[in-house]
Order: sequence, then structure tokens, then C-alpha cells
Amino acid sequence: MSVRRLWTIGAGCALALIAPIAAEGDQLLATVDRPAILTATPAKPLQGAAADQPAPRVIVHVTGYQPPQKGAIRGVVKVQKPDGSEQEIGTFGVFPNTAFKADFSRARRYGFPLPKELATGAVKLKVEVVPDKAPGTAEGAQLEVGGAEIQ
Amino acid sequence: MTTSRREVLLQGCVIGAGIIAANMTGMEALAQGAPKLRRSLHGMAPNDPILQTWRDGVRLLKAASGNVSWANFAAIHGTANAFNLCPHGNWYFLPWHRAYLLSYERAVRQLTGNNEFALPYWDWTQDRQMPPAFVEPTFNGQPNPLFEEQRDATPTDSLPDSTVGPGIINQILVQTPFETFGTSRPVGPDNVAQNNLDQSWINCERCGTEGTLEATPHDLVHGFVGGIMGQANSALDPLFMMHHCNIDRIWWTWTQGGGPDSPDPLWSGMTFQNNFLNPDGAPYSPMVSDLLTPEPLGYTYIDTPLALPSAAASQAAAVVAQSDKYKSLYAVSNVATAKPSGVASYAASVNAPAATMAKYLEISIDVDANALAPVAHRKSPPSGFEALSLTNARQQYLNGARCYAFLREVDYAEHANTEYRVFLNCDYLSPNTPTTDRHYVGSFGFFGPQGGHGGHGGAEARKPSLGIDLTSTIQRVYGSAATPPEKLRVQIQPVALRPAGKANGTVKPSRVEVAIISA
Repeated sequence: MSVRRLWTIGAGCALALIAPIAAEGDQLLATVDRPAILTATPAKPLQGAAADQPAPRVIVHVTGYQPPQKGAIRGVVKVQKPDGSEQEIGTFGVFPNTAFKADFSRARRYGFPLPKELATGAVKLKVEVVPDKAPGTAEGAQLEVGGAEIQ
Repeated sequence: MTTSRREVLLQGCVIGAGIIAANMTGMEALAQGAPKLRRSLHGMAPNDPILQTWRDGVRLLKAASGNVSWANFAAIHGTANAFNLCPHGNWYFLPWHRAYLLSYERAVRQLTGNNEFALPYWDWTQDRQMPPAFVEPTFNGQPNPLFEEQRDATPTDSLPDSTVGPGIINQILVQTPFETFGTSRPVGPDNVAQNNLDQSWINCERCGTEGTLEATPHDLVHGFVGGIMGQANSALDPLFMMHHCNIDRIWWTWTQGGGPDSPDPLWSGMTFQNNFLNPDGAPYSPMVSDLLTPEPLGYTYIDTPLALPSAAASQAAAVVAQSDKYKSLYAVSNVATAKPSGVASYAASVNAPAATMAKYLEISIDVDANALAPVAHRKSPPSGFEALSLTNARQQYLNGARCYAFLREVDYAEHANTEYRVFLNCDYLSPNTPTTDRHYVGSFGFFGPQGGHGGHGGAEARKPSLGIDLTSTIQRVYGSAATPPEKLRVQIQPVALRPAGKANGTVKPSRVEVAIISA
């Protein structure tokens, strides 16, 4: 086995240890008909990162995107509250509006404020794909979510 | 006494230091003079010198070849295939694009000879549709350099609240620290955050976590306009700079409101080495710390002095005095007959059937276009201004001409689940016309049955009257017109509050009065 291959496996194991792990039952691919559903778990701040972040945030890692056949989409992030209802915590776009695929370490990350009362532990998230213009259909659009964490 | 931020900066000799740091010679600094005001495109006339200069500048840059040309400047940002030097998803996103815009601003000043030029901004928080000057293929019979035919958005498509509405903007402006506001520092593939000033960190694309400013209005407005604007070579679309100018303005607003830029030298000490070009084609390599304050860079976003806290009390008194003029307007039951001083008034009786969801009600009122002109062309404060000083924002509101409509003695029925939307001079109005349309004025509704309470002393209950401020809509629709209209068509469109429910509400005022308050 080559040194390069060993190094790659080692790096992969290290990433697996620090990456948010999709929980059983998570649906990580969002289309216009079907949202991604996943669990965001609390994570420790990254080494060397700003330590004075006061408000909890949900970080969504997007590992893949397929634009719609026409136009663009919005990713809408909702969190499930203890009573079962949903609260929208943010919206994001993908720029440039072109297909991409990335491993978890190179995922595009989007941060959204999480209401403090919901930041007591793991939370269930829904990521929806919505056409960005009223008459749009977003047909063909896909968002692949690699995971989510609470920081 | 009031002191503007600009004055403070000038008196503090910051200009000299900033300009030296920004790779400009002392002579250029002197020639530049006071910082130039970057203005909103909101209501800007098509022949405004700023728009005319931008049009000329874009045309000249498109015609040029070599370093200082439209194609080459755009390639600094990215090509059809990928980003080039611009950082996205990375904490250099804001300062890099500030310097990038600056290179356009300086090049256009040089090419056109208009040293008063400053980039205008598309304030999509106020104007949800693309600015009119950018959507017409021709201008004065010539090809319009600001038009881009590949855009996906049509002139009537509107950005939704979820992208640029007040809730999103407020969420952005309260963010702190910088890394949650302006996207966080890059973290390499080995999961170690940036730990040196190597140039490669600038282009560590998507290595940080996008804050709301980048993820929401920035990314989504690019996608909304679409075509080239949605791609890495988006700087080929002349609307790119107006969009990014508003992003830059929101950064400025955030810092004016006390938002702290990152104190980390890994951010402020980074130099964008040979990323940009001066107007003469020489490299422009600012450090992030050179880019934190616009004024030393030759531009500003506000020309209205902000009151110091000590002056706020006296200003508040002035606001009270000014608002008396408005109180008198609301105190009378008929503006047209009461004729309060300083108010031009017009009225029309309503003879058409009541508004229903199937058929909106339109009331046409003849007005004096000359009286309306100061309303259409009034200077409006930048959005987010209220975040800096509520007192200043109130005073701005009361200064200058305004226009109101009063719906008198309103009959309504079956108003459950009905929202009554008011539009002005909209030629394509339907229940599907969104509240983000430029012709939208506002909405009203009713609570309880009509005449639910008896009138005072047992008399018959009075029918309600409503006052509606038309000023912003008039600015938006007619600010860029040479002459405002001589008819204001006030339109009431009932719609369902909950889309799934029935909306049978009707409404009809007995008359509509229009009041134009002079400055």
C-alpha cells in the first residue's frame, strides 16, 4: 500500500471523527418535491476559530448542487420546535448557479442564527428547495446536504 | 451642533494615511477632494449625471482592450468556468469586493473625466425589481450599455421578503462578531483554520461559513437576476457593481452602527497582492486594513450629518414641531375643503362598484404634476439609516415633500380572511401582483363587524377613514421620469390572507383625497 494511499485513508478517518454524522433516517437529498431532513448536533468550536461567538448558529454543509433546468433556487432552512411545529431560520442561495459536488471537507457552509431556546441539544432540520421566482418550478434542482451542526 | 462622520475623518487627517495605503499618489489624493456620495438608484432619473457617467464608462470599458477593459476587469473576478481571484465563502469576501468596486469607480472617473462620479447602488431592500435604467435595450435610440440580454429576471419579477425583506436585513445588521456577519475565516481541508498570511488563503474558496449577508441577499440576488449574473463571470453584467455596492453599503451601515470589524491581524493584515488595477493599468494591492473605511478611499454613503447623542434631544424637539404639520392633516375630515397651509389637495368621488377579489377598484384623481414633482424627486435616506439613528431617520422622513391618500367613509363587508392591497397606477394589477411590485403602496384590513360599536352619544357609527402614504411608491415609479403623471390612480385589490381560504371581502370608500405636502 502506498504512502499516499495510507495518508488518504488516515485523513479520511480523521475527517470522519470531526464531521457531523448523518443520523439514521436522515434524508440528505433535497428536491423541489422532497426536503432534506437531518439532525444538527452541537459541535465544539474549531481549533483556532473565533471563540467569542455569542449566539448559537446552525451550520449547514452542502456537498452537492444541481441547478434547475431554468432559473435558480433558494434553500430554505427550517428547524423543528419541541411542539412539533417548524420555524424558518434562514434562506440561502448557491452562487455561482452551477452544479458542484464536493466531499465533506470542501462542502459549502452556510450559517444561520438558532433561537437560544432551541439550542439545548440536537435539533431536527428541514432543508427545502424552492424556486427563486414565483412562476418557477425548480424542476431538476437538487441540494445534497452533507450534515449540519450547532456552533 | 452636528458632526458628520466625513468631517471627523477629514479633521482627523485619516484621508492622507488612507490614500497612501491605497497606493495612490498625493496628487491624486488632492485631485479627488472630498469623498463622493454613492447614491441609491431609487428614483434616479435616466439622464442623471451619475447614471450617464456609468453608462459612458461601461461603454468605454467594453470598447477597450488591454488591462483596463470590461473583459479584463471581469476576468479578475471570474470566467465562465470558475472564479478567478475573488474570495467567496471566506472572510475576505467583503474587503476584496470593496477594492474591486473601487477599481471600477476610479477607472470610470478617469475614462469619462467626471471626477464627481461615484458608483450608484441598487438598494434591493427598497426596490425589489431590477432598476429601470438596466432593463431597456436602448437608451435615447442607442444600444444601452447597461442592458444585458441573458438575464433570467424580467422587469416585473420581484425579489421576495425572504431574500431582501426587512426581517433579513435586520437579522444581518444585528450580527456580531464580524465572522458571523461577513463570513468566517477559511479553514483548510486539513481542518486547521487560517494561521498565516499566505496569499492562498484569499482564494481558499468556500473555506469559511457564509453569514446571512453573503448566503442570502448576496447569493440569491445573483441567482435572481440570473444569466451571466448567476455565474462566476457575473462581473460582465453592469448590474453586478450596483448589487455589490449595496452589499458594501450594508457593511458600511453595520460598522456605522457599531459592528466591530475583525481585530484579527490575519484578516486586517492580508494584502491583496496584484489583485486589482489602478486606472493607469498598474497593479493596485491594498491591505484589508486600508479598506475598512470608505471615506479615505474617496467615497461615502451618507451626506446627511448624523446627530451626536448630545444633539439628539434638540433634534427630537424639532421633529415634534415638524410633525404638527402632519397632525393637522390627519385631524381634518376633508383635506380638500380644509386646505391646511402648505398642502395641495385634490379629491374624487367614488362611483365605481366596490372592490372585490375578482375586480379591483380604481379611483382616478387629477393632480398637479408640478406639485407632485418634488415628491417624486425627493431625496430619500439610505435604507438601514434608522439603524444608525432613529431620530435622524424621523427627521429625514418629515423633511421634504410627501404625498398621502385618504380613503374616506369606507364601506366594507365580509372582510374575514381578506387583505386589501393598495397599488398606484399599476397597469397589470391582479390578485397575483405581489407586494414587492414597485406599484405596491401598502395593505389594510378590518377587525370586527362594520358599525360594531354605536356612535358617540348613541349616534350612528361613523364609517372608517384611512390615510396612506404614497411617497415611496411615487418615488419608485416616477422618480426617474422627467415629469410625474397628472393622474394618480389609487387601486384597491382584495386578496386572501390565507391562500386556502375564501376571500369575499369588499371595500369602497365614498371619496379619495390626495394631499401633497410641500417641503
